[in-house]
Amino acid sequence: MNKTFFYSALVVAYLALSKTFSPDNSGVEYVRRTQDLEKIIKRVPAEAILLQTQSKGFLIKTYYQRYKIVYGFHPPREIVVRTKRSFADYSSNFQGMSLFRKRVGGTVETTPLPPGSLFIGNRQFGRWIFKDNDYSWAFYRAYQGFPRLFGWFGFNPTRSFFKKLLEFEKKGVPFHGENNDFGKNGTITAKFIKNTSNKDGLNSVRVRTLFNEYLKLNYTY
Amino acid sequence: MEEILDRFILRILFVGFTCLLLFFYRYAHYIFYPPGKRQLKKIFDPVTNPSNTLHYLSRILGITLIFSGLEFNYFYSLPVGIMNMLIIASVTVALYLSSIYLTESIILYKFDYSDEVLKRENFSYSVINLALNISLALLIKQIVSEAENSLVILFLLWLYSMVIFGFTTKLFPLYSMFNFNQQLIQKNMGLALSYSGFILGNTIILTLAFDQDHYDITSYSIRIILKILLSSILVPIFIIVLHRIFSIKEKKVLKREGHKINPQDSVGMGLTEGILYLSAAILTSMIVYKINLSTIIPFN
Repeated sequence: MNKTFFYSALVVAYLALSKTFSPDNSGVEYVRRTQDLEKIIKRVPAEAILLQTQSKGFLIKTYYQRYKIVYGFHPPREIVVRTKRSFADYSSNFQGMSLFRKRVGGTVETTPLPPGSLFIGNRQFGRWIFKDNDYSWAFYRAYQGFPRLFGWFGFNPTRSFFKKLLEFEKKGVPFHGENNDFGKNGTITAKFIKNTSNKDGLNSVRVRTLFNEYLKLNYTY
Repeated sequence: MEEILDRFILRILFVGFTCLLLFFYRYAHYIFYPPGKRQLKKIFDPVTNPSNTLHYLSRILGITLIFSGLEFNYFYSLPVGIMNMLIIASVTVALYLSSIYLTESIILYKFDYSDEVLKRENFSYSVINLALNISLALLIKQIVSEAENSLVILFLLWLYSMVIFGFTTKLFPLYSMFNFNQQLIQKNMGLALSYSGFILGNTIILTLAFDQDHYDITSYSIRIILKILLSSILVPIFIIVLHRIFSIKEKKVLKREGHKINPQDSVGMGLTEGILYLSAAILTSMIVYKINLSTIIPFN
């Protein structure tokens, strides 16, 4: 009885210590809520777009999120963070959307909005042009790559879109676009995520290919 | 040709240098291991008392194991290299003898060297000392290699390893059917064999736990503890499996059949316990240290 108790305690202690200290993830930041991204994103203006949420582990799960950080005046980068389950569940509805924005001066906004929201309407980065009976947003030549970074795929933000964006932002309510274009079920986001997901990873290697390679390497003269 | 001769002469000089270190080790006993003074005062007679011979020679075997890990690199100049080697060797000698003194005071606190070895010629006591001395030597050799010429880190790792080593030795009653103190007084060889297997098995796990990449001492210490905890979970599984697969009678069955810990039966029991523990520890070390799962990273 004593030995069984001791053994069970040992297993629990090991799992608890491993989960608490996670030595394999010592370089990965832990994010409890969107505001915590501020400790990772130092430069301004910047916007964090959620690309993917993933859980690892069989019984004790660890949740990871992959973000694309788009800076106004610096090259973009991707980061991987650890997070808690409730936040992972909540934010998975806003995949492909901007979850965190930091303006010049340090103001932070965390209402989920379509990607690129921080830069639309900012005269430093682009201008409104009249086209097809409406005004649409166009980035300056130096920022022509931004729509590709945001995964817009031909989407042109209009004045009416921008007005709604500001309204939702003011109210603090998530905005998925005028026709639900962005987010988990968004049509534009679906294309964007398909494009950014890592398909060349080890998981996609087929056993048959590996076996053929092995035969070729070892038994071909 | 001259270069070959130079290298040959240098190697001969290093033989002399190693002999000097051994000479220093002999007299370091006076400071760091006072109980060993009696063995050093006069010419040692290996024939009269075999348990004393084993007790004495086990420390020679230990220091040779440690010295086998010393390295000389001709980076700057010969004197600098030799000085570095001398400092590391001296500190290692001090740590090794202090470790032996500490473990004897903690593990064998109820026994005295002069009573057990000189008067009672307790061979079982000497076999346990042999296992302890070899284990400590392997452990210190590992931490010297991990410290990478830093004396501060070497001292910290030594303290850390001693605490863990001391803790693991206290787990023996959980594993064995032998009552350590009682059977050691009775000069039980079975106990010595069982304990030796237990200590050497633990040493394999501990030395491999220290053999990890380290950039940050806190993270390194945590990883060591986690690896040891994981090993302590896996070792009992392997022991049970080895018993079952190779149809070896378990302790419960032996007790039920009326076998008692007497000089006839205990050697077999001790051998079984010792060898199975050592085998389980080696298999565990393979599972814990050779199967690398830390490369499972998200979004791959």
